[in-house]
This record gives sequence, C-alpha cells and structure tokens, in this order.
Amino acid sequence: MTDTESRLRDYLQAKAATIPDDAEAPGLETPRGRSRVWTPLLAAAAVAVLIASAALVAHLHNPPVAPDPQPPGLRVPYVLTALDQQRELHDGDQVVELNENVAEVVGRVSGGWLIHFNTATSAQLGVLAADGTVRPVGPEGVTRPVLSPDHTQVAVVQGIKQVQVYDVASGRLITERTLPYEARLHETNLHGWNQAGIWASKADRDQRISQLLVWQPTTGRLTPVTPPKSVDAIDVAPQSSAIPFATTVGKQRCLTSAHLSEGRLIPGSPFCSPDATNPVVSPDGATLAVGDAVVDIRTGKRTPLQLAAAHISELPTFEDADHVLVVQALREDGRPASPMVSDGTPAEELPHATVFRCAVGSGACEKVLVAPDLKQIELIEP
Amino acid sequence: MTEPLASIGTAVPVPDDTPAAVTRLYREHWVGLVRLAVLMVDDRQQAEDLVQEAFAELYRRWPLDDSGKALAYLRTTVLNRSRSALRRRRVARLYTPPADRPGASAESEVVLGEERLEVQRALSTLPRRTREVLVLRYYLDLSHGEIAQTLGISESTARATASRGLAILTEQLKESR
Repeated sequence: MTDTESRLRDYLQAKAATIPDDAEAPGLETPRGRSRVWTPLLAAAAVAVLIASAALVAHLHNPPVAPDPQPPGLRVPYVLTALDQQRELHDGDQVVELNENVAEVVGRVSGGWLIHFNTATSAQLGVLAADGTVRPVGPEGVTRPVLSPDHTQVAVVQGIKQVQVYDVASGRLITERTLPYEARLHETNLHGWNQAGIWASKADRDQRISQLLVWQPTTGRLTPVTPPKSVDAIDVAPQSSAIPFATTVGKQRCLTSAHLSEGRLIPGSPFCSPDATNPVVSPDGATLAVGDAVVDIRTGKRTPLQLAAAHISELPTFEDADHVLVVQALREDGRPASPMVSDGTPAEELPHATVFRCAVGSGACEKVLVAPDLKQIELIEP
Repeated sequence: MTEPLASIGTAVPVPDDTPAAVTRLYREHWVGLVRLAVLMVDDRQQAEDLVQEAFAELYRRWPLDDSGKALAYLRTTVLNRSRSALRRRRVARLYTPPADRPGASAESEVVLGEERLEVQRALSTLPRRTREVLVLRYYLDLSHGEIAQTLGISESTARATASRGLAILTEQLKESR
C-alpha cells in the first residue's frame, strides 16, 4: 500500500468516526411529511399515504413515451436519470426504460444496444431491444466489455486474465486467450479495441498501468507494449491507431497521443494543463478534448470551445470526428447557473443539464438538447 | 477506529412486513449510511437528510424484487443523492469563493488534525465520481467490480478512475507539503 493509500484510508476512517457509533437516528421521514418521529401509528399512516400515491407515482413514471425536446441530429445515445433515479435510454426517436439492474450501456449494436446488467449472482452482457426485451450474450461473470470497431463483436474478461470474444448477433464465443500475466494480485483491464487489436493491461501496486498488451484476435498475435513512463490512463480510438494517454509528472498533468510501433508507444507532443485529466480522443484519433478546448494532435492547435459557462459536467463525448458534445448546467433561461444561497444550494431552481454540440474546427457551439424535468444526462459513445 | 460498512452490499434477509423490515434496516444501518454520506458531502446535517430520503425511497419501493439487496440499494441511493447534492453545490461554487465549505467545523478540524485535513482538502478537489470511487475503494474496501455495480459504471472506468484519482491525490499531497 502506498503512502497516499494509507493516508486516504486513515482520513476516511477518522472522518467517518465523527459520526459516533451511538449517534441517534431521527425518526424516519416519510416522503409526504417532515416529521422526524417514527412510531407504528405514523408508519401505518405513511403506508396509507404511500399506497395511495403509489398509483400516481407509477403512472408518472410510465407515461406514454413522450418525445423529449431532441432536435434532429443528436447522433449519440444518451441516458436520462430522473431525480428519483428512474432511467431512460434515448436514441433518436427510440426511448427504452432501464431498470435498476442495468449497470452500463456499452454502445449501439445490431438489434439494439449492448448492455452490462446485474444478474442475481453476477453480471452479464445482453442486447437490449427497443421493446425493452434483453437477449443475453455470453455467460455470466464477464467484466469490462469493449466493442470491436464495427460493433459486431465484444471482448470481455472472464476470471482474472482470460479474454474472450463473443459475436454479438449470435452470442457465440469466437475465440479466447489467457493473457500471460505473472502477477495475480490485480485483474485484467481492457482499454479498447482498434485496428491493432484489443488493448489490455494490469494495474501495478501503485495503480499505474503496467504489462500493457495488444491481442489481435483474428491472428492470435499477442504484442507486449512498453507504456510511456508515469501513465495513469489510456484511451483507444476505435477507428485509428491513436492511443491517447494521461500522465502526471511533477505538478504537470498532460495528455499525449501516441501510436504503436514495433511494441513501443511512440508519443507525440504533450498537451499540459490543469484540465488535462482524462484522455478523450475523437474517433479518428485526430483531436483531443482538453477541458473546455480541443487540440489538433497533428498541428498542436488549441481551439477553445465557445461556451457560455464554465464546463462543469461529465467528460466530453465525440459525436464524430468533427463534433464534440459537452454537457453544461444552465438555468432555464439559458444563462449560466449562478449562486442563489450562500450554502451552495440553489434555492429557486435547479440547473438544467444542457448538451452543446461544438465544431472541432472552429469551436463554435450550438445547443442541441435540454434534459427535461431536471434530469441528469449521460452521453454514450456512438 | 470506525468499522467500515462491512455488511453493506451483502445479502441480508429482511422480513416481508414492510414497516418491520425497513425499521430494522434503519436501526441497524443508519449510522453506517450517514458515515458514507458524510464522506461524500462533508456535511453531517445534509448527510442525515440524504439518508432519510434514501430510506423514504426504499419505503416507497418496498418490497424490492430481491429484498436481500436492500442495503446495496440504500447505499446506491445515498450515493446518487449525494451526487445530486454535490452537483447543485458545485454549480454554485463555481461562482463563489470556496472558503465557506459546509461541514468544515472547528470541532471536525480538531478531531482530524492537520495531516488528515490535507487529505480532506486534496480529496475535495477531485471530481465527484473520482471521489466516490476512492471512498468506495478505500473506505468500504469494495472491489472495482462492486464499485462499478454501485455507481452504474463499467469496471474499466472504475479502475481507471481510481488509478487517476490516486495519482492526482498523490500530487496534491506532495504540493501541500
């Protein structure tokens, strides 16, 4: 365990201990009341209220599928999460409710969307159809799914170091390979799949990436790759050979795009900034997203995105090679959300998750979606 | 030393009778869940409110399809609500000096001491998902797979987020020396 890990554990334990073991729980607060008294009588009353409201709640949660204000052209699927955590997958005109077992929407595939969902004892992949049905793909117990560049196959980790490839359409196992890792302390991680093959690694003791491998399932070739020093995270652009990675050297956080050559990752020029925390690259490998700007990897040109407010939401998502989507929190009138009370909780209105499409070349941005009803939005890579 | 929420996430059979089942969960796990929430939102009152809301939501949805997962459900709900609370707070913080952080009471600072406050400050600068992952990893000792299931993200994302978060935390702590 590193010093940072030790200090982190110590802090978390000490902070948690500020809530003493004998802290007294207040009465359970019912959804319809602010009473903090928990008695059988009030509980019974709460049950009655809740039962009475259940039908209404159910109705509200299952409305006829109403089209959300989605202008034509948003070309990525996205998940809307309501304040009560109900989730819907949107893709074009299609809307599918996600139940609580869906852990991840991996991406579009023929017949619907590949999802990773929890089973009674484990987790499994499946194809979610537009009618809400799920067709399992492969066995239970698989982890870290990554789609092939054409989305017809999916690679997963089975156990600690076995990588398997399944055909999405048939669910059939196509090939598998046990990776030649020596250490058994950490599990295999899959980073992505591009022309070179499936990129896998193990994390070493200080959680940095080590033992990087590329397995080409069509030929069976396994290529050990020497990662650059101090790599924290890598991404894989499915349609190109670009491998962007993030490093922290001294006080500098940098993103660098590299390409594979004879078992080595050959890095280009680094782009360093406090926002350079996660490698996000366009599908063609030509552009990096760095905070609220994009960088042309070949020329090094940095183009700020013309956004009204600071970028505060999730990582950017490339819609295609020429456009990047960012999510911002804005007021209903479109202005940046501003403080309304000193304790940090907006008193009058919650911000609306708003998606902007920004042109990589010019940085010009247009609003393409405002999540309805204060829902949160998660964009899925196309 | 505080005991981590060892039983959270494990299958705990509960009676079918809703008030009794939820009441028992409430009595047994209220403190643990408030501890989890306070690690996320850094404010005891808000943490208690979030846990109250989580139990109210559990009550509304009872019975769950798998009542043995009630604690896991509560944990996820607490984290989801913590996330919403932090998101609202972060929106405001973009335009306000960060000096008035809730929960930074004098009492808390005395209990934690300077060394731990350094960690607290460094942790508070991380993105919320990174913070969630690190809390789940280093307080609850969850595996990356369990973290992924709790947060609804992929295991690779959980792993990468933990790795990146730890690296940034290390740098932050070096800078604070």
